[in-house]
Amino acid sequence: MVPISLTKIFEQYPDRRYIMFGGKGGLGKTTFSAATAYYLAKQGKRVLVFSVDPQASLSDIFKKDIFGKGPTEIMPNLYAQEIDADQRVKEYQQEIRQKILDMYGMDKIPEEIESYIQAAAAEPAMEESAIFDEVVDIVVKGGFDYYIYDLVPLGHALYYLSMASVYDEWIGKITGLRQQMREYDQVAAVMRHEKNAEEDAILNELLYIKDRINKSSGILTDKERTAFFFVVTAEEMVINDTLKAAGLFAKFDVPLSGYIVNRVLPEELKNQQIPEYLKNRLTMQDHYLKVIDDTFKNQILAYVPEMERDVTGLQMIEKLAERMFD
Amino acid sequence: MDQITTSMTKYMKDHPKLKYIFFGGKGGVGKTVMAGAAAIWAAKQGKKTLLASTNPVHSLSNLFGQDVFGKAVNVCDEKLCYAFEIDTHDTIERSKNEIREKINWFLRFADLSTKADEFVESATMNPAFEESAMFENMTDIMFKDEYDFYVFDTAPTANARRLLGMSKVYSLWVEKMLKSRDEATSLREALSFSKKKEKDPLMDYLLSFRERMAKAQSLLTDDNLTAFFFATLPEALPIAVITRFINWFYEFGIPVGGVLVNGIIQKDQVAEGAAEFVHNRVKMQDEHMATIWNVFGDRVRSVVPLFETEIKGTEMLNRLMGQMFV
Repeated sequence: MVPISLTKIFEQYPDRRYIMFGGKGGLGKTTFSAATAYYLAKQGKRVLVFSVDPQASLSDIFKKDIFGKGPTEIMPNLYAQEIDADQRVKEYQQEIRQKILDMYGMDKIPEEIESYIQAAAAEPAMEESAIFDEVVDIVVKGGFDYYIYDLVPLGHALYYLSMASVYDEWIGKITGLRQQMREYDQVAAVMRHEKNAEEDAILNELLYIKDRINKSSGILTDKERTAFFFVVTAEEMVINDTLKAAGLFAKFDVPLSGYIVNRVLPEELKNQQIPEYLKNRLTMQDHYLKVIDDTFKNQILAYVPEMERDVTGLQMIEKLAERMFD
Repeated sequence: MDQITTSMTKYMKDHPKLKYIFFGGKGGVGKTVMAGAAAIWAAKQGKKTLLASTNPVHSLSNLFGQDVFGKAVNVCDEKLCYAFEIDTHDTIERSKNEIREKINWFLRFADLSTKADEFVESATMNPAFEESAMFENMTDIMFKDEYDFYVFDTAPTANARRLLGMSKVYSLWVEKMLKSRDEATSLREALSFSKKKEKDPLMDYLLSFRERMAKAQSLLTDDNLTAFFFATLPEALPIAVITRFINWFYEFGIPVGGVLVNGIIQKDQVAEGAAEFVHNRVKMQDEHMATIWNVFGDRVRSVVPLFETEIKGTEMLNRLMGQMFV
């Protein structure tokens, strides 16, 4: 059970600057994201760890309220960010209002239109695209050596990953339609003896969005620049779900870099006086660690021990990072 | 305070009409097993009970060791207890067909010869489509009314909140749609040569949709019928997550049934000379329990011990139930 080390992976592939941890809820994705950010920052890299999860816990882990505040310095070289989707949606709405006001030279949004703008914000797609948009902003903007995505639990991470291709196709379709219409416009313009059809501002905007999305989805599936790690624990359900998920992620061409086993109870406990539940957990763990070993074979990068207390605050994060990157 | 004022059992007794209960919380805190135990409890009270999972990554089949995907299956010794993993595939197909019909109807209505397929695809490739499908399936199950009691094992709770909140804003949107639709119809009638009244399927759809949403909202906000329970562990992150959620739920007027604490290490099992690891865990747990009593106070419904083995199958669920419902 000697894993290839996580440290080696980072040394071997210095171009992999986009780091993601995937897995079922409650396995330690966020703590691993925080600890990895800590480790890299200590190496002198400029790191941004950001959460795309509306139920983000980075604030709780760093014990600092960073929600909706943009990249916030936690310690030298280490920045953390939690995206406030609601805020972003509000900004959209304001933008739309402004566009309507400018376009029609109105000084007030008609009540009818205002309620449409309000209702549109409740669309579930809105929150997701708002977050997606912010992620594109973060990545396109640059300025960091490493970007660590703290992903949402499996089901939604899959949405998130599929979204890139979905949006791409969707916008492709719309731009196609717009382009056709533009051709008609031009024909009509020629027939009306006009020199040129007006430049299609909407089409340009769509192409701009498409370009942004391509940039972002390109990163997600880029074997050279992306490292995607799965977090797993020695439990039957978790192993089953992880296998299922790994298959799905592979379908989206997400390059899997390996598995990290979390919450491993220390061996030496066996020789100490411990309650029944721990004895059973140790026996169960022995069994499932073997299953993990057989299942994921040489793709296991680290075994991270169950800590004596939960990981919040820099001191505990440091401890965890030491165990992850030994 | 460190005592439960209203236990789970008492809450149920105080709400004899309760019919829909939901389990939410951070990933990995035991939502699914608690939902399972609650379903068995309800069945034992003589209620025909459905335990349904709305999580895109289901785990009920795994919990019961029986395939319940896409079909309600009797899962335990209680004849009245059924489990069901919602399969959104059919709903998505059905919605696609409905949309296709509607668009086709509209194209005929507007005398257009374009084929609907392209529009249907771009409309249904929306990433939130599965989410809405899940909500629709959930309300379908509720409206069919084939069971006396429903237990929903929900996806990450932020998502559930969004779905439930959606119903509120949707009615606003539909209201507007209906109004403009109504105007369009009367205009068409006024212009029509024959003055004959035409059936308007889009109008019918909007009307039935409004009715569904209103019905869902009235069920979900009725504190005699519905209760949302939040599961947590005595750990910092799950506590922080549900503290936020509870406030959101109050905002939406969705009844909060209370908080269930899972995975307490039993002190009588921890001997004096036990391993330091264990003593440290217990110490941490005490700190977090103090927070739980302090923050949630008399909304705590039960405190469930950490079992010596993993909870799987009806026998273990029965044991968990015994501890949850005291």
